Amino acid sequence: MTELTTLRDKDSREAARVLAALSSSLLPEPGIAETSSHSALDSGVLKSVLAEIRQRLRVSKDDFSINTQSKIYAFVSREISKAALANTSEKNVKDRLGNKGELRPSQYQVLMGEENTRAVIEALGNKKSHVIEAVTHPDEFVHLQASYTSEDEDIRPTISIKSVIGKRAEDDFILLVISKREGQIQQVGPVFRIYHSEVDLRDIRQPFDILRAFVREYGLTFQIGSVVSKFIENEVIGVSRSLFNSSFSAPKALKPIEGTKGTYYVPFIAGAETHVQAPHSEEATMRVLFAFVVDISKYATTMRRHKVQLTPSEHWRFPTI
Amino acid sequence: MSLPLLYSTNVLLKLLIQERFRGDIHYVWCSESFDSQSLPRYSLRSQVAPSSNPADIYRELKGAVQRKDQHCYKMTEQKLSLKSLAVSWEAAGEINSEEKEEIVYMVDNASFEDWRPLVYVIPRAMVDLRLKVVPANRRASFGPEYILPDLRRHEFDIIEL
Repeated sequence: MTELTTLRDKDSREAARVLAALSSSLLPEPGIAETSSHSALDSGVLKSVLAEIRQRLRVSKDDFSINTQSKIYAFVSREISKAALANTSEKNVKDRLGNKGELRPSQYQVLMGEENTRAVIEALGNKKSHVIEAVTHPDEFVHLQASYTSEDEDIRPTISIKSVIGKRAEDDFILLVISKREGQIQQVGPVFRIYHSEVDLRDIRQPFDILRAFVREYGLTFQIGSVVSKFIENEVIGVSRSLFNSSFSAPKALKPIEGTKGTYYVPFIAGAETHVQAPHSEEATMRVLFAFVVDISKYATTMRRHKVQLTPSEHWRFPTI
Repeated sequence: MSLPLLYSTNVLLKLLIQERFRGDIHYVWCSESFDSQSLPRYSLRSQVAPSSNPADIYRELKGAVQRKDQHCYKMTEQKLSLKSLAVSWEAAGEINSEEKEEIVYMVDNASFEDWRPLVYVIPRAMVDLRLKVVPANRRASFGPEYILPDLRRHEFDIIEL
């Protein structure tokens, strides 16, 4: 709440409005307002608030220098923040902005929570620090949001990409990270290296196009409900609720329907139930933002060709065909 | 004779806020020339004061961003303007309380990169009928200045110098 005694008898909302009206009277004003909501305020109140601010800043009432104006602007600005944010916490606001994808990448906290996720990332030669760097300082990123279900259940994936220059030109690659936004946190999911020498990325700039090109090269055909594909993108599909109860994960039920026996693979699905079915029905309708299955055996062969240090395959926890 | 283009300097954060919270409708203060100092000395259009001249505003903000100057006058003014507008928009019922809080938070936590200046280049023919002349007593000098209260994103291009 504001520290100004001239606003002590006002609640935070009213105090913010007085300070906003004061700002309008101080800032250059073309007489063609963006809003007319100050009209009911008493100019006497504005004068006394300004007088108190000048007194607190120890500047004379006749001092209209740039330096003094700047101090007054900064003071009023701080007081508006106190009043405008009096009924919430900074964390709440940051979480809301984080969910919407409105924070800068560097404002997100990056978590690689599940042991399984970390193991998968490290098994394929990726370092935690590189993943964090790709999320917090990406070359490009895209925030996706289903926005058709309640905020708690909504699925909010982010795809971040970061170019990495290798020692040899053929080792240049793009690190692609898929994460899930939960407030100000990005929970890391799959991470892949996409080598320019292995995947055709000509004329591709957007993160989603890069993911699509990667799956075209390393994807395995799979089936969800009645849909058979290598890459499902923004489709509503009828599924069995017991098989796909998670919205951002590597579900066991998502299996390839091609490939040779013993092939390692990683499935991934980002989607959420649409709640058009009865709550206790075994059937659910799922909006799939994207889903794919990566042939890890083929991917690992590429990594070895580029001399990436992988965990020996006998320690891998990837499912096999 | 009116010139074919209008120019307005705005910070990136303002663009993002207007895009996200104002339905991509932009309120801008603009001039007929990018740099009034480059015009013939005795022409009326050259009489736009530095505080309203898009080129001067651009240079001031760009310099402050490069120097990471926390006390830049123009930036302080913009911070106050955006936050007080958020409060006023909420009071007018144009945004809700959560959106007001989000704007205030975004302004308070903006990086220097978010304060970098952008030049809006506006083909005058598209907006001529909606241009409002800033009254002489509200201008910093004699040169003409305009307000476009409802500029749409497809009506201007953005350049960075």
